[in-house]
Amino acid sequence: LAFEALLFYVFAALAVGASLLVVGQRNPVYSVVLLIVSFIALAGLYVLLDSPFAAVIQIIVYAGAIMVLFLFVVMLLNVPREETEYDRTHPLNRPAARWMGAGLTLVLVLQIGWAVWHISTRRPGALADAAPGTVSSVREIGRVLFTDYALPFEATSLLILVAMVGGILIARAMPSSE
Amino acid sequence: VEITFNHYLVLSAMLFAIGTAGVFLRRSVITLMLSVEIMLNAVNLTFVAAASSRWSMARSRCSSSSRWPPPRPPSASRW
Repeated sequence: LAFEALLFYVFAALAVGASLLVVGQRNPVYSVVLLIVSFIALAGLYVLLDSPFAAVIQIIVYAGAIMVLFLFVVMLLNVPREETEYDRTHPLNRPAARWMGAGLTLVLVLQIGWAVWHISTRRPGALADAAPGTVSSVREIGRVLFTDYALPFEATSLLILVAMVGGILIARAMPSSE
Repeated sequence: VEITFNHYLVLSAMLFAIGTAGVFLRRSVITLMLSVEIMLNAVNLTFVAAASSRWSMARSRCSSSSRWPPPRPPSASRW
């Protein structure tokens, strides 16, 4: 059990440190590679949570597909590294967006503070220790996905279709605006 | 020291805060996307941890005891 705690702290430190470096990094290529490190640490946390299916999907889909796609976009578009330390050309830097951002930050800080205060005064929920064959067998996940959770599954596919149509529309509208 | 659900919640909150800070601090669109990905993964971590703790609760309900925290079942007879 102490070994699991040690692994948790190692993976958590890796995830938080890599995420901090992603935000603090100037070169976008380094940011993408560090984000892959963060995702692999999160996959290790999923294994600790007895969800090996989620861990494998995390590595295959996120680290394997999405991040490689990001890397391709960075390489193809020749995204410039941010040279100056700070200037006022952030795409969200408009008066309305600034007030909304301040409000959202306040809400987020209040929520996180409330949550941390709340869970520190409450008995912690125990985590599942093991049930390897039943919880996360791919067969069981597929069966439940297509029977009990068929409606959320179809809703997700509709959502992905909307995202695809939106991406195509944005990509087609781009040259006419120039 | 036992790792509980709260540990995962705090870690997820930290990751979400890092992602939010990235969205509001960085200028390039790619890095904004990466920060959004950090936030999404923090929420995913919350979901998986919640599912794990819910699963242990459901299993303790299946077993005969109603004591909280549920006793660890012997590894041979899980159901």
